[in-house]
Amino acid sequence: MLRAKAYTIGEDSPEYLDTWPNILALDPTNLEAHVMLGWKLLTSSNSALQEYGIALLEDSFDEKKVSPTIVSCRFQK
Amino acid sequence: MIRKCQKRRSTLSHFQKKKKKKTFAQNFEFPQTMAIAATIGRYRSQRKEYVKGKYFTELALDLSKRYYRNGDPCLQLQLASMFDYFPISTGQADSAVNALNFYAEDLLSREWSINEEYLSANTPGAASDPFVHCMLSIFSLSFYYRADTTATASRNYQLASRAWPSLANYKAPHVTEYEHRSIPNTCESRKIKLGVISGVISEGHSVSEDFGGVLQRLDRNYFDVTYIHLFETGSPDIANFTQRHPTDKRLVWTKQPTDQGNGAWILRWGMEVAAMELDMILFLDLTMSTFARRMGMMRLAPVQLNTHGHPITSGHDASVINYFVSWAEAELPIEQSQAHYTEELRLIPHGKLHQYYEPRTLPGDRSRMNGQPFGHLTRDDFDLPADVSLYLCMQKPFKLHPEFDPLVCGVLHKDPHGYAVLHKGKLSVNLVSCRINIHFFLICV
Repeated sequence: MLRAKAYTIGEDSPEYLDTWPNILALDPTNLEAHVMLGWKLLTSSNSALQEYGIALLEDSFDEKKVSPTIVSCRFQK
Repeated sequence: MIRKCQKRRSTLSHFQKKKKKKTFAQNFEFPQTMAIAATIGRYRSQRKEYVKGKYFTELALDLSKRYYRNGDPCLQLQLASMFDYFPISTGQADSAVNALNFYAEDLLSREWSINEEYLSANTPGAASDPFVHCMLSIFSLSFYYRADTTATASRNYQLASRAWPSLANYKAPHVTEYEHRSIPNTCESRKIKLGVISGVISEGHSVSEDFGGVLQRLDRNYFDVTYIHLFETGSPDIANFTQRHPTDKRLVWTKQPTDQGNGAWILRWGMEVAAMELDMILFLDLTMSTFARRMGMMRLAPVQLNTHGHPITSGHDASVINYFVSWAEAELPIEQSQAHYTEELRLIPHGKLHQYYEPRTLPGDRSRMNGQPFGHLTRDDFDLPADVSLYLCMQKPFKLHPEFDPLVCGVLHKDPHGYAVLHKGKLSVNLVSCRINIHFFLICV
């Protein structure tokens, strides 16, 4: 439900930034939430949020943080 | 594969258009993975976080080999110019330089090019200035005391020339004319047209403080002076000393909002300088500002000089930057010191000061820089004991590399009650303190 909502509302909606953290809260290992939220936060003018976005993206490469990782998922294909 | 990659912008929005039945992981494509790794790497490098910056940039480079036979050249340029800003040991500093040189030599050994338009359109963060995105600052090289500075700086210049040939190949028409003269001798008939170009010739900057006295005193019967402040960071206001002679020309140039997607504005400025038909250009700081560094890649005057605004060789070929003006008191004998420069080294003789020193204090114990009084301050204000020796080193902490540690440690060893007082910094001061503490316990105690 939340995932579908995230894709429906579009990146520019303020709700977008609420939905992905909710998905992440439900599943902290969710790769998709890491990447989508992380990438979005990169464009934030708030440096703390930008840093959080980078940290989320970094985690998407870390098998201790997400499963599968952004790299391993591709090799599995 | 390259065509497929080029069609995609570095946005993740295309995920939304994929068929719903596929999982996110299955939908993920390598170009985006590469873009994310590259973005993290560049972000961390910008924040001077070397380990993470290098890790993710190398990861992105590895991923890019699916699309470029030898990997993305911009990523390799980053790795070829990536210094460890706060090395914990000399060994770590050496490793960083070795890694950087490995990538530089690899790039120089084969053919490649940089497509600024493509880079700007497809790489997050590159559009503002592709040069800055790919070539990280060479500034830190000056702190690598054990490195082969000349070779490293020279490779950096060669890489920049290869990536931006329009700059490296530009020669002002009057320079060509000058080279074809049988007896070049402009001094007899007119003044020497001197250009002084700097990225930091702003009021109060150490470069302005260092050179202002000398430049003001150049005999205007011989020199026609034009100051050009290339404002990149810091203050846009050109230093007050440039106003002393009404005949001097003062220009402040900066990148305009429309200057996007390529570095064409540097060439545009170069052509403006070329139109001035200067006889000589003195670059005060070729290794600080990227604008100045790029201007110095062009042949804009028959004689071009670098000097000690940032006291390190530019690495530029001696046919482009002909001379480095330094100070004999600060150099080894010429036959040794020349090895540290790609330019021909010219020295202000022994026994002469390199600057006209103007005290930074005013009568009444006030700062000349901001007018603030300081005569009332005591050691108590800094929580320092009254009856000990203080050893001040007011360099910014990021300039204090591991070679500094045994020096300060040795001083404190000989004066156990002494205090080393260092400049407070944001991040690096903790590292310096930590390193010194380690040294102190390992060596001094």
